[in-house]
Amino acid sequence: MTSEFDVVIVGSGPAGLSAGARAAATGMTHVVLEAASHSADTLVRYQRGKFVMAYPSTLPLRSDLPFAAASREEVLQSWGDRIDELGINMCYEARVTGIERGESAFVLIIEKEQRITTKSVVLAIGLQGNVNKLDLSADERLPIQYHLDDAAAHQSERIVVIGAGDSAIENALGLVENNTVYVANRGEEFVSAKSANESSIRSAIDAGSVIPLWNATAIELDNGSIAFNTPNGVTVVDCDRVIARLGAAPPRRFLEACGVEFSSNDRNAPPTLSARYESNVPGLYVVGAVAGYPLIKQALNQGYEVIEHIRGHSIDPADEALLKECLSPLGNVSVTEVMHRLAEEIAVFKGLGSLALREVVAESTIHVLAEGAVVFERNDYTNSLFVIFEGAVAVLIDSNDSTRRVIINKGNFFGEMGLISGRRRNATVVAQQRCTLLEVPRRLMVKLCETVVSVKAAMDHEAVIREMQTHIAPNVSRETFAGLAHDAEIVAYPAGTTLFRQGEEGDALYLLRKGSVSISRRIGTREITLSYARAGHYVGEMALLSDRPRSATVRAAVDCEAIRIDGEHFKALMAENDSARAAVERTFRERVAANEKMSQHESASDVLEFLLSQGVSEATDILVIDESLCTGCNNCEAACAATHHGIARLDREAGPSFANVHLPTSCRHCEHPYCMVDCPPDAIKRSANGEIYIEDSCIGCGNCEKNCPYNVIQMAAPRSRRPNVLAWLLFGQDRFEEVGANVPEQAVKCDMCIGIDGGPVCVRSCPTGAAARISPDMLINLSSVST
Amino acid sequence: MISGVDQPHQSVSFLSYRRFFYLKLSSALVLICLMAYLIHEPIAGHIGSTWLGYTFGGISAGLVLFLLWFGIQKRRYGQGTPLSGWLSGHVYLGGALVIVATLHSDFELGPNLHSLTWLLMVMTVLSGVIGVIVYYRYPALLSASRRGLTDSEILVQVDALDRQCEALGATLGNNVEDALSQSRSETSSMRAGCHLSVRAKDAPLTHAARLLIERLCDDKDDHGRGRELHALLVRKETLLRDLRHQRHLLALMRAWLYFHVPLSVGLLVAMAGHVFLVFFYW
Repeated sequence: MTSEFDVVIVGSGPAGLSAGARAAATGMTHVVLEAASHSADTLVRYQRGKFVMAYPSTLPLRSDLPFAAASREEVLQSWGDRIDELGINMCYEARVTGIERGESAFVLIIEKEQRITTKSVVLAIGLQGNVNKLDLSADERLPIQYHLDDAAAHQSERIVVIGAGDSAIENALGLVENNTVYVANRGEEFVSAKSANESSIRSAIDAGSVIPLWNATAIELDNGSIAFNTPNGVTVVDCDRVIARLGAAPPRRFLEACGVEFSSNDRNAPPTLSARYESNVPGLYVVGAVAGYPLIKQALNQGYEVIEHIRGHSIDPADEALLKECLSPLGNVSVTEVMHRLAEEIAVFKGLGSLALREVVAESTIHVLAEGAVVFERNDYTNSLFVIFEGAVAVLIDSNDSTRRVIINKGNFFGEMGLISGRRRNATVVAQQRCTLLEVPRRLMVKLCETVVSVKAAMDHEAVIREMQTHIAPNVSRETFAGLAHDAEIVAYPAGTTLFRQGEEGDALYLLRKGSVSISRRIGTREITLSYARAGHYVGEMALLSDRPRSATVRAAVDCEAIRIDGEHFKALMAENDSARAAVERTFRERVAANEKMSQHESASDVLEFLLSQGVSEATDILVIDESLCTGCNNCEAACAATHHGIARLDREAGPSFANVHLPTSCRHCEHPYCMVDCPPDAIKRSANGEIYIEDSCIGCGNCEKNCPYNVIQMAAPRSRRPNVLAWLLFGQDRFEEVGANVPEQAVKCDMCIGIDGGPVCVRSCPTGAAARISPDMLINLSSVST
Repeated sequence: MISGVDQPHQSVSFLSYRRFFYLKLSSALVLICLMAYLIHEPIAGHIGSTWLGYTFGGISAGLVLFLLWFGIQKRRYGQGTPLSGWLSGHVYLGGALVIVATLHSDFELGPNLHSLTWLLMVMTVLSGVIGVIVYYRYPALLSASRRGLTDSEILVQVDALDRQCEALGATLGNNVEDALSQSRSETSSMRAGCHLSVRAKDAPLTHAARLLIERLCDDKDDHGRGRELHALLVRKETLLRDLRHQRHLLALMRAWLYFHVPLSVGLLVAMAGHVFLVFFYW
């Protein structure tokens, strides 16, 4: 190996390989250092046959490596061929342990005390970090592996899986069908696992199909067995294979050790980089997932671009043309200039890096609106966020009086309430003057709020004031609430936790911004559920207005977020402002009357409690069957199947019942859909009317099926109708058959008959009128009717 | 609720659909027909061949076709107004049919095709009345007896009880094992089960096994096991009874259709014959 290079690339994932390919193609002296024994380790670890997506589909590919959506094997094969063709200088099993910066060059230290000198370094180390390994001496008879390639390749083996995270659980569950599986866990919990994975492994353990080893630390491998230290002494397990999934050391630590600075202390924050991917250390470049770009295509492009930058070529980023296209409604403008202005003038984008901002613009839509044009209407179910780039908009706060408007100016955003609460738009917004708006999709905004602290902080700061004004007293000025908002805090309450208890002193008002709460009171020996409150309503005003202890207990019915407003501050506001006091007192009086009515009606309260316990309050539209009318004819299911490619999206008989209320297994179109959380192709959408539906771009990964807590999603291939008049007349059902053996399965769920005139067919096909679709606003109604 | 879509916001029984719209419509139809019948004085003494007779006949035939169309409409998923509206019309206009068709017959019945048509109509409507009563009463009874458990959930519980019984019974002698195996056959028959078990209400084999254990409990030393087994069998018997009761109710809810539908097809054929005879051979 030569000792001095033009560039050394650390990591051989998509970004590193692409950089290596560019360096090779342009004749730079280079080497790609890879800790594993092969390139593209992340991809290699995908399960066999997995289909690799080429997203974002609008982004053009610019790399010396080929890439298109294909199976894992095809992608790996094409890259392997290209490595040979271009003669990329690969160096495997070379783990870089440190980078030192000399006068004019870097010195990379490799594990086996080798040193390499180079002018530039490209870090493309991915997010996986260095995989933690078992510190045990090897045993010839017992293979240890740190990933599972193909679960089906193992049959009738005794396998010990070590670890308590998602990958350990997924491996164990994948192997359980054909093997004897042990799971060794250093504790007794699966703390870092997703809840769906945790419940699956727990039920596998309960069913006896997985054998757990709790509080177990591996100490020795010996002659085909592995020994663990446990609280009960040493346990030895004879086995054929050990799979250790022990997590990885995060790459941030390594980058920091190299002197790279990060944009914030947030765990997921990306390093601070220039538009040329150069870090604060001159000559040290960072690309790929660790720079905040987890998608393969982005990484490939960056690998190419970073080498061009190092060669001193000034090239536009690959998305330049795409951004130009996105910005075309603005006329012939310079992308750089618009990016600069967005970063400077839009408060909510201030903490975003330049690359992240480009992504925002690429995924957003620009609207240029004439004065008076409607941006969205009250009760629309869109939940994107709008940013005002030019001009101003007016929020029509009174549906009956269009002269009552709140003006929002350039640089600000609006539409955040729908985004936060997951509910319908609560006001119509029109262009006050000619304006230019950037519409940021919900998914991207949610991701930004989760990963960039400054975005969330900027959004919350403004949102809290607006939420207070809108929901407490719309007639009171914004300035009045600004002070109150300053001292208020946003508190998250997981489902089942208590906001306050009956009998406690009232020290705060809680304005719900997300989720819903149940309100109950102990009457005699029983706890009676009186009511519930949803996002956009407040609780706790009774004790503050009456200066008496809390008259009821309030619990989060689902995961909630509330703005907690200090009681003394709130009382001061009430004392100063008659209009606010009148609004709150009106709510107070209505609530006293409603609570009193409900406390007299125990059976209705039981039904309400049942509905809340089933998570109905986070639904936006739920199918309910009145069992006193349902004859079990299944016409609802038959109708659903007949109108949806032969697959019924509801299971009438399944699902919980109480009194006469039955909640069949069918999509509830949640406020914050669990299914949307982890959809790789972003195929799950909410329409303006509120239906959650799955687009054809579904890749059949099954994430949504796993994430849905109500089990309403199934994986199925569409079927075709087989006309049979006799069967139709005799059984009332069309016969359906598989379209073909190779049709891939996709996620299937109720789409509320979007696109079918007249609305949901299940309800319309119920002969006795037992089926109805209700929104949670009608829960109280439903409970009273059903008893 | 999706805005702009006309869907019920809560369950509304087909009987009270749109505030009894079809009841009102049928009553009005019957009232008008009755008044016309009373006012009208036929010259020949037979109403059938007068203009009013033809009108009643026409209305009746129209009603029969409308009522039969329900069978088609039920399968035209997602087309037209809600099916509960159709059923509401089907029920009330079916009631009206009896009166209008009887007025059409002018109460003259005899051993001929015309009277057979009338008879089939009455029988079809009567079986339909039974259907309405069944649909009105049984769903609530079924819901109450289910106590939130579905058919398959009960079977899962019964299966679990069978396994526990088997384990406990293994040490209690051949008699007990035989009785338990008999009881298990009852579970299998329920699983394979014909859903239309109108008659079976009890679980006789499980009952017998329970009585046997009860007797043995007094005779044997191993009281602990015997008692436990007895408790399991009591639970199983209750579950099987519940299940049979539910299936019994379900079967009754379906059974009337096995009369109603063939009768209505018969009515259509007879009516076609009646019309043919009247117009071509009278």
